[in-house]
Amino acid sequence: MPAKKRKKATKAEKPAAHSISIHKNLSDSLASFLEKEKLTGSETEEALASLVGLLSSYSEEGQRLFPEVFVFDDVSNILQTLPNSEHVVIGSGPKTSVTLGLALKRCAPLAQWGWSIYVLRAASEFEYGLLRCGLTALSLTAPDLLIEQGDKSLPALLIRHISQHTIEISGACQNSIRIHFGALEQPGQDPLLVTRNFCTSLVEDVPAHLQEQVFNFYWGVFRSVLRGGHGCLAAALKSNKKTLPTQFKDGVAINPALDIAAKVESLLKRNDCESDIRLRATAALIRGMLSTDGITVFRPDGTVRAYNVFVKNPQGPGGAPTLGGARRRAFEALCSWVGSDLDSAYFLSQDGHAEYRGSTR
Amino acid sequence: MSAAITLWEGSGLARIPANAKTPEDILPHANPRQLSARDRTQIIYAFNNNSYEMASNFIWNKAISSLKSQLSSLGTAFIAEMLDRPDILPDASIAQVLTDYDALRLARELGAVSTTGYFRLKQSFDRIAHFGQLGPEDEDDAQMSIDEAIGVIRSCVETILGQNKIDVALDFKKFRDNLEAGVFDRSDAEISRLADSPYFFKRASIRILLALIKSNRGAQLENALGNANLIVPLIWSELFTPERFQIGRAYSEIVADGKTQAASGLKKILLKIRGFDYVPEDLRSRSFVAAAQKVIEAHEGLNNFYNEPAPTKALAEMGSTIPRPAFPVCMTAALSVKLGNTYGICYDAQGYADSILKKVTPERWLFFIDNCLRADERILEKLTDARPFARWVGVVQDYELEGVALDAKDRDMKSLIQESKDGTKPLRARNVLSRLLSRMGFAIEE
Repeated sequence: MPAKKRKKATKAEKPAAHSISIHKNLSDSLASFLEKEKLTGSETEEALASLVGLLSSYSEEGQRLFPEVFVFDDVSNILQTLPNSEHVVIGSGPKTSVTLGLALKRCAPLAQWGWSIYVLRAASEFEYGLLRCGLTALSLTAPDLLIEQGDKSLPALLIRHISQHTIEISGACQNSIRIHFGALEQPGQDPLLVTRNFCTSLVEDVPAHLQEQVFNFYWGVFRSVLRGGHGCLAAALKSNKKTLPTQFKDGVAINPALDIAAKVESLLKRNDCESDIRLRATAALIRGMLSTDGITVFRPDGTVRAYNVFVKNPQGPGGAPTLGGARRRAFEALCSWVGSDLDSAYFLSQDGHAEYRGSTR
Repeated sequence: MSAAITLWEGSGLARIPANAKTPEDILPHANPRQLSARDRTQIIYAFNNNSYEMASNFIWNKAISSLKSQLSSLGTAFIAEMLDRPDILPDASIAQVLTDYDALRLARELGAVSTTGYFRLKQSFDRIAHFGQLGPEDEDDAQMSIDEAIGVIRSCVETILGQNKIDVALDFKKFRDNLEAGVFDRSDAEISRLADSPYFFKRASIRILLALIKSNRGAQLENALGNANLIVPLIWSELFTPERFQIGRAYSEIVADGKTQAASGLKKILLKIRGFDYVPEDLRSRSFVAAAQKVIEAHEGLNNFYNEPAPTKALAEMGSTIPRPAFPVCMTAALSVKLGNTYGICYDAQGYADSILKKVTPERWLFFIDNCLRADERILEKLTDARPFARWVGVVQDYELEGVALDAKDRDMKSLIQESKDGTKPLRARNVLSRLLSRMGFAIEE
């Protein structure tokens, strides 16, 4: 057989590689989403799809970054609704994905300590920069005010990680899309809902006039833990448990307990830098505790009682050991105490899967 | 609005015979729960020993303490909002932070005292403040007379000490309770009446709503927000600048305090009325408001001529540009010092007041005349007094307000400046002032 014909035959035997792109799926979903959010435009649709792709594993100097990105059409009206806000314009460019890539490169390393990236859809270009709002650790944030309390008269989008492998695009008109980048689509309950339930259980005995603020404090702490991708275990003691039950002795007890409600009250009353710094520093401390391998123990009055606590794994049915990893097995142990020693238990795996078990009051 | 439309009314006066001329005649009309037999004996004793000032001060302190104690039952946060005083902290003691004049103003607005009672108490207060600040060298020449002392005793008994404590502000309390107990409908009679009511009712309603929104939770907060969503848009176009800024500042404070539900509700209202221009960009204005309140507090307190210079100096040195949200109260403070009271001015504070006023541009003067002064009963009431009015004529001349006021939109304000340019027609100016105050729902006591 002539060499030329032999080569052709070989090529025909190998089928073309099947290409799967998340970009295509995302673009399709984004079209209707943007329409519902009153932010239509083919350039936006295309640029956002590529922005989500970039954000999915964005890192600088080997470090993963999780910037929040806002997209809106009217910077002055948006900033007016954010009391005590400021913004820094970084650059602008044509309405393409290249511009958003450059925006991310320039802004992502700066988008921390309350700063978020914004993309303004001007008439003929994208302007980008950073914005922040709020006075103290208790102040409502830009995502709270622009998205969660959003209004259709002020269209805005927010793209952010809710866990290490999941990005959420949410809008002021209360629509949202979640894009999962993990090998598996997350089964079970919404991790944000699960985490909110646990935060609610942490404030049930907090004085009524502080409950909202203490909840917001814990919600902020747990959201950053969710994004961090470390996973964690936490539990809330029953209200009537003044001391740590014996099964939690293998850990670091905090005496006196960290009293978040008292710190929040001090900040609300004094409204000074010292109280603010104390509260922010406490948040950092609790984030550190939650990133240890053990269990962090709270009480429903919002206090932190212990961290890095290890418990003995329970026996499964018939004396067999419980299946799963160490964290999962410890969570099963916690669940078995919910209703007796514990008010609630919370589990977060590294891949963003979260579970909550709470006693009904 | 017709005279029939009132949300609450001031308490009447205790009936004291017109010919009652001695403490022995007047004091039996005091409520024993408010003024004990021992107190009465002491007052009579001091009076009969020609210690008229001592007797007046004693009964005045009794009356004003009683009034403050009744007002404090409404809650500190609520009082701070009603007086638009963000400097009053939630755990502050009302007796300490509330000036006597603030207590009188509030009592009038809440219906705890009638307009007539308010003016008589105000006169008594001015009298006590004046004699209280005289130095030892002046005291021999100018002592409180027997008639002046009787005037103070009479006004205290008939307006406060002769009243039953429990009756005070009941109508007002009912209105406030309704605002948090349920949501009004546009067709409800209360809402129709409010829309037609004088300015001070509207202002009080806004302040009540803001206080409820800031302090309530759950269903009560939802009701307050629901009512605010109905009432604020309804009267927004009639609200003057200070009240608009008060709403904007409340939103800013609620957001800073992390109150999610309240912020969400107030944001919806601000979007509806396009009121975000009145939300301060930062809380720098808070410091100016607090400094201005200290000036007002000194001006309206005892020994005002000694106490005014320090806070006025502090306000003058805070910076050349007063943030817009704080501008109305800073002007009230500077003009209070500049105009003084019926007994004179504090000479040492004049230079600082001048330095504040000199920095005010013609545009800002116009803004003040058009949007702030016409609702500033503190200054308007001062102008009804001949001496502060004479100094006001000086202000109008020094700052060339006649030219500025040519662009004023409000006809009455334009007339007031016009009639104040040379002070030759004080009666005409007084008529304008009377109109301005009655538009707010107040009346001038002749």
